[in-house]
Amino acid sequence: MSKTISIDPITRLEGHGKIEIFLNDDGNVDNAYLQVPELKGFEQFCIDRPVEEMPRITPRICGVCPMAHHMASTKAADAVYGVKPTPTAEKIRRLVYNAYILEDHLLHFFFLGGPDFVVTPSAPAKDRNILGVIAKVGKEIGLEVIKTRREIREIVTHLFGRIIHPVGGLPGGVSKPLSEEKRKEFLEQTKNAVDFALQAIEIFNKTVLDNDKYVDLVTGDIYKHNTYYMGLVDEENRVNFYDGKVRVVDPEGQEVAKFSGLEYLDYVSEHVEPWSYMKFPYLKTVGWKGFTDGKDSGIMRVAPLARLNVSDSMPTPKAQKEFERMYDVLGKKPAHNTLAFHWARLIEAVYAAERMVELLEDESITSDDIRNIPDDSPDEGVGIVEAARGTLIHHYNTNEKGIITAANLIVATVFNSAAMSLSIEKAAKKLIKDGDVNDGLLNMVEMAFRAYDPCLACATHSLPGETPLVINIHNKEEIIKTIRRD
Amino acid sequence: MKTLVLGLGNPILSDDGIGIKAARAIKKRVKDIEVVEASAAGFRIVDQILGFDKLILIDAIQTKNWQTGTIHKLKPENFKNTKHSSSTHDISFFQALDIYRENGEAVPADIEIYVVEVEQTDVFSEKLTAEVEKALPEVVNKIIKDNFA
Repeated sequence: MSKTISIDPITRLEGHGKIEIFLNDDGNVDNAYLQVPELKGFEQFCIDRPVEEMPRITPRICGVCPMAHHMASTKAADAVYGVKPTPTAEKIRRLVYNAYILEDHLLHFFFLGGPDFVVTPSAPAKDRNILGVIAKVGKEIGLEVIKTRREIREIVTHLFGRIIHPVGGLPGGVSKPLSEEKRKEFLEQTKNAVDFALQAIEIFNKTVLDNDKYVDLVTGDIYKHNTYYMGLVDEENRVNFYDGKVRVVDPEGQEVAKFSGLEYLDYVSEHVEPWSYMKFPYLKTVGWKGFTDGKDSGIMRVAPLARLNVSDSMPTPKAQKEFERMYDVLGKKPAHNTLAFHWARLIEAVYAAERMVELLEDESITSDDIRNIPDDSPDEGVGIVEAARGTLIHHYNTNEKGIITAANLIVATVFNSAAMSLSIEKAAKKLIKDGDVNDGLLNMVEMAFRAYDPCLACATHSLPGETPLVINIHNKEEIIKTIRRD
Repeated sequence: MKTLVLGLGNPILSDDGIGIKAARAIKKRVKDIEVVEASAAGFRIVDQILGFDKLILIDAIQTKNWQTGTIHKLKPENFKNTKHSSSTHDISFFQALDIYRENGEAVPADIEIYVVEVEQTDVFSEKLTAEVEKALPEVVNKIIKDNFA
């Protein structure tokens, strides 16, 4: 090749992670909105396919949460056929699902969101990455992250075939049992993962809690929104990623809804805005009152902090201890501090690892009774799981042969979409005064983003493979400034 | 030498599936070859390629400067990187590669990237658009000729 070709990621900007900020006549912020790319025709794509194909198709929607889509889809297919997985199959599903959450949360803390804290929020953007984290906490931690993630991923690959495109979930069960030999091997690895998750939380506690400036940042008013929260809980109102009932609490922590399956239609409605293809789900019983927080506004938040906010406690001892510590520091439950999503994520990582140990200590997980064959006529079903990024709902209708006639998906990022716009607006209002745009705007917006960990261009993966961010600032007539991070 | 062919993209998002379709075609034509497909980015890809000496990566690209269907053979250094992408989920593949290499992981020493300029990546469909469909056998032939002939 004689000439050098440089690929500039700006070419991928169109539609990706675009933020529009509108100023009033005085040059102050009127409104701020997040726009994400539109992917067209998914429902149409699903129609006329057998429902059992959905757990293999839907993980393709997103290269980030394939397991969440696979599991929501598998559970929806269970419901369509009216079949329950065997107790062993359910244990294997829970094991794999907790493995996914653990791996994803560790990746997020060390590589994506954590650098803001560990390296310091004011450090230059070029240093706020995993290399900066390794420089701060030591190379051995970096190696441990890689090793732990690999071991956890191997558990998923062994049981569900593939980590990126899992195939292990079937209506009524799973496709592969767990051998006694593998159970013992995975148990040892998982015990190490508990230690590592605790080590991660120690790093967070040391860097954040021992530093007043950080504590102020996390507990302060920045990105604080008094919203409703939603997440799955078990029978004792404890966090559960795989199954249970969806619980909603109001900004004061009072339970206002608890539902499962098709009942979601009674509680969740989607608001539409002309400027965005993305819908804005809200709590139907309260109603849509615009982009505003408070008890009168039906805006709900999902994801780690939301899950802890809707739960009375954690189901495992070490996670419970951390849960109590977090709410002690934050002073109130529910906690409304968006940056505490990072903290909650680590507490969930501890829980996921502890739960995996519990599941693997139970020798009955190696039974070969891994599937109930569906024998009922298929019709309609809903599958709800907690993806790493929040509540995920798959809803399918089929004809009597199990062929899809309608499909509806509500994904976690969409649940948080209204709240993300609130956070962006708050950052914009703080940093744009009388038409003067502070250079820190991009960092502030990015920090809010990373707390929610949204899926922006989640279905497109063509090179260069990054999601750049562009902020357009408008006055009444035109765009007056564009800030971009490519 | 252990070689891996890695098809990237999303096979249900129209032209974004070109990398995966090409990888599948190569698997049919070349015996005893490791082929992996992935609809993911960054660390999630790097995890798939450890232990290989050579990596042949096939993906869609959208520069909007090249004609649809144009094929280019590139090297990692052709990709300008940001050290801290605003992507909230992941960092770039090439950055992830550097991090693994610096931590002593066995990342492939030789990496070749074949890209096809695509047109449509925002519509759910298993079909490629016409120009990209035409490029499919071309990119497959080129990769086989360059590497396995």
